[in-house]
Amino acid sequence: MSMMSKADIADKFYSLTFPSYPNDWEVEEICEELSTLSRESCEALLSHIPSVWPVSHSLCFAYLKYGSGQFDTITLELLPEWVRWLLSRYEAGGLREAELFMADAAVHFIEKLQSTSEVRLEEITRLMSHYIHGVSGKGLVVEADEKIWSDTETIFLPPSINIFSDKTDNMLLYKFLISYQWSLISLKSNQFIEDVIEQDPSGKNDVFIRGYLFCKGINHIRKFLPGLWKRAAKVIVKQLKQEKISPDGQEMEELLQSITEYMDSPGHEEKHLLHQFFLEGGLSQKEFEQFKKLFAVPDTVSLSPVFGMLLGHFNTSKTRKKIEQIRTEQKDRFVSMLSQKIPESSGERNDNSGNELLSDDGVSVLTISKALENPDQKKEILLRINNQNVVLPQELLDIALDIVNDFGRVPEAYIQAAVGIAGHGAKFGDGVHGLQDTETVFSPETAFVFDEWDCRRGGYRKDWCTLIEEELPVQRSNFIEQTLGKYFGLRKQLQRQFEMMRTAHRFLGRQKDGDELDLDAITDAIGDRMAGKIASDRLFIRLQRDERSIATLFLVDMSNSTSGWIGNMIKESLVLLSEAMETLGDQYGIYGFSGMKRSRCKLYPIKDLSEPYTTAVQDRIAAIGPKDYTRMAPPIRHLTNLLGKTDVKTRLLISLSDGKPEDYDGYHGTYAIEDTKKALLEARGKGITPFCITIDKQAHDYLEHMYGQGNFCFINNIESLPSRMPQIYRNLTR
Amino acid sequence: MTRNLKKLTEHLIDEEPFYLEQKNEIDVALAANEHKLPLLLKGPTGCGKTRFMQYLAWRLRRPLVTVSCHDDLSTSDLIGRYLIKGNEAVWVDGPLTMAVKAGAICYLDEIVEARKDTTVVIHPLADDRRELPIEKLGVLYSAAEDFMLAVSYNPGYQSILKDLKPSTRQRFVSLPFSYPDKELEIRIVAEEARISSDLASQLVVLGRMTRGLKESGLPEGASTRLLIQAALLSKKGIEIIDACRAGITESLTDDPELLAALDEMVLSIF
Repeated sequence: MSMMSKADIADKFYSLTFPSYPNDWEVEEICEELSTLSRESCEALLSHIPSVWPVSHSLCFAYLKYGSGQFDTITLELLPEWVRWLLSRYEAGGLREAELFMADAAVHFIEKLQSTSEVRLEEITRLMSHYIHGVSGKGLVVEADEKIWSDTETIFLPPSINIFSDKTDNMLLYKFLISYQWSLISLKSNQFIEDVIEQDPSGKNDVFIRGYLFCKGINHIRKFLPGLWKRAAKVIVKQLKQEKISPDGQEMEELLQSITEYMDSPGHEEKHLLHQFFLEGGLSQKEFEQFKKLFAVPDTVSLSPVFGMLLGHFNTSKTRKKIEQIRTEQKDRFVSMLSQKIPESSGERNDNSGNELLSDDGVSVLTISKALENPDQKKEILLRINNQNVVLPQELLDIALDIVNDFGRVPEAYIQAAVGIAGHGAKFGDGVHGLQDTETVFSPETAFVFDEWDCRRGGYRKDWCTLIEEELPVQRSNFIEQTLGKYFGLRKQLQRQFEMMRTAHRFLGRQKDGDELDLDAITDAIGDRMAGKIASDRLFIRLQRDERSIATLFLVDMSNSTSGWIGNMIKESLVLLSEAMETLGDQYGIYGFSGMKRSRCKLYPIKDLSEPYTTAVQDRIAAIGPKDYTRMAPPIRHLTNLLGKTDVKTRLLISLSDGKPEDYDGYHGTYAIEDTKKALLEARGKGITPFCITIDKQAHDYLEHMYGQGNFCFINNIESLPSRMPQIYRNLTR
Repeated sequence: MTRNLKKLTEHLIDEEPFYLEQKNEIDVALAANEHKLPLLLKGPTGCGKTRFMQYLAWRLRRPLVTVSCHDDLSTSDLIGRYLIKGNEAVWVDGPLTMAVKAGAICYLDEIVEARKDTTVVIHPLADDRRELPIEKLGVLYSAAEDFMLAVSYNPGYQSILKDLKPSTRQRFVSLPFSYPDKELEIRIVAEEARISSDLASQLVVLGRMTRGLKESGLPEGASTRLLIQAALLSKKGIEIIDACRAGITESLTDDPELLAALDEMVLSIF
């Protein structure tokens, strides 16, 4: 058995943990343990140091200690999985929890792994996010919580499910729960609960609310996801029977049926009478008791596990807050967009009545809904200004439709607010904040002054922002080597892909020499010869490889929110991208940006367009770290100017950020979005193609507004960034 | 000339193609035809652009010449070239020239795929001149009365190198196509594949779910064409879930994660 010497192990350890200086005696101890293992095992254990060491040094030592001690149990194949488990234990409960886990790999790892039918949410989060995104058509997020509920934007689910002995059944239950929560969201259950409680806050309806929503939710799934129902019902009903809440055949079914029918029949809008229905509605006392027991509120009676999960939990106040927040954002966007559509001189009064919402200035938004019952039925929305129909842009129309779906109409206040802004220039909806600072702008030598777009007055604030170029303090680290090692396979793959697009191929006809005969030229030559002229000797086709004429600048967000994991992935992506770009030979530059307040927007040059990709550039990439805020527009304007000076055919500005533009001095919300949008439009006007990559948990509606359709891409899985980024560049310039 | 005409009559569409109007595209196209304006059809793949052209050709009783554009498409591929026959060089008209002379509809499918210099030859045809100069022959053809030019492209491609030049696009009447409304799409799928409207509606729901995944990394959702494809497979006795996998999900992506999510969608509907 080939082994590694202690000295070799120590060398390797120090190189992997460079530039930190671990305690020599600790290292010695570990080397002792590791040296008893085969070379292969030892290298396998060491290979995980780059992922464990940065998390915690003590954890890393513990990992090596327990890992080498129990390597035969863990085995080479399962080592990566073991590391994954221990890291998640560490995240959940710190070093103690992780050590407890590591201490006995046979019990805590192998046994669980073999016997486990448990499904953990983190295993399936991504899969389920895609699934529910498709099903719902909007960016619902899945997150772990002790209780099962949703705030209409996030669905909260238990961190793991282990009820059935079969893993696929547990998985199915997860899927069912997510789908069920989605159905509650689409049924606007929160509104229903609030209505009932508002009419009768005594709480005696709680049981019935749960029962009613349960029926509705299940029916919704039956109707829209029949395949899921078919598969899940078998498993779930069996389990419910075991839990002794068997909806005993018909009886329960009929009971639920009569509730929904009663509630949905016209004339029963007074939802607070819910409990009266149960008392007077022909239920026998026994049935009534059974019902009450079944849908009891969880705080009073403990429910059986699966049924309790199905019923879930309602958090009306949190949900209300979320809905309000979404509505405010929606309103801001609607108002600011609509105000741009209303001409300032819309002063005439409009005397129309009916379904129209009128404002003093003769602006009305008309909602024609063909059938309110069917949510898929298209609603038409018309904007009328002074009795003239105005075509709404698709984006505004979409928001208006969302609002109509939410409220049933566009509230008059929204239109008034838009008219206010359009008419008076400065009056703005409450979501748009002004900038209060009156700081004077100073201009050091490396500073550039830029205007800023003020959407409230529809004009530029002259010389408003100062962008200062600053050098990144460089520290020597082994980040680059680690990254290059980590992505060895991907790098090879990217290199191949980028090599293939290195040149544009073009066939040139009528050449003196070449690979193929040019039939056109020969035909001409024959014709010429027959006509007695001198025939040309340019009879060949040659494959011409054209140089690509592209210059690209990458603008990287270095705001505070990119700290930790995200920042690291961004850096790794930049390394891989640079490597790939070197193969391709396109001109490219990299700049980081951050800053605080308009007078101190910072730009950190990492590589300029003409600079070769050297170790100095690599060091600067490694030195990228989180700074302050995200005022994106000034750096965009600056890079636009830089790109404008190049004489290539295609100029590309790719920005990479992790959320909304924001700064300390009140630069946020609509104001910031509009300024960024304006800066991008300016770039486009100067013949530059901007493209934005956004890393976030979910896609927000403002992205499309800010970047424009097709000009951005959204990444919610940060781990895929290193492979996605070169891919995006490839697609853009293919 | 007569040979050309004979060739072109093969492109006449005798039977009415199945087409349901999405918005007002038929009226707009007919109006554009009255004034001899060229058409630009834009929209995602498989949403009915080509079918619409077939319908229009049938409606106008004109031959339809379709050219699928690609990287290597050269100007001579459109206009024509000399071929050698025996010891003689003979000029053979390309599809565009044929259509110009005989008064047919010339439809350049996926025009952005063609090289930019190729598309410039259509410029004089696409404005009020309606002329086609052929340098090699030294002639300038005026388009026949019934000649119509139509091009299509998919704006969804995120390649900045593949965009239509403004000088090209500003010569056209644009007809935006998108996936049809739910009810309409159900009818289309049901009638085109001759399946029950229940099955069609389930397929359409699946299609709309996949379109919601655009922001999660799926470049494009399932087109109506894909839905019809799956329906046809299932009609021939393939289990519907397998038909969806073969006909829809596997055709959409290779990404294992997205495939698994798409599979969950299929399983939640069927």
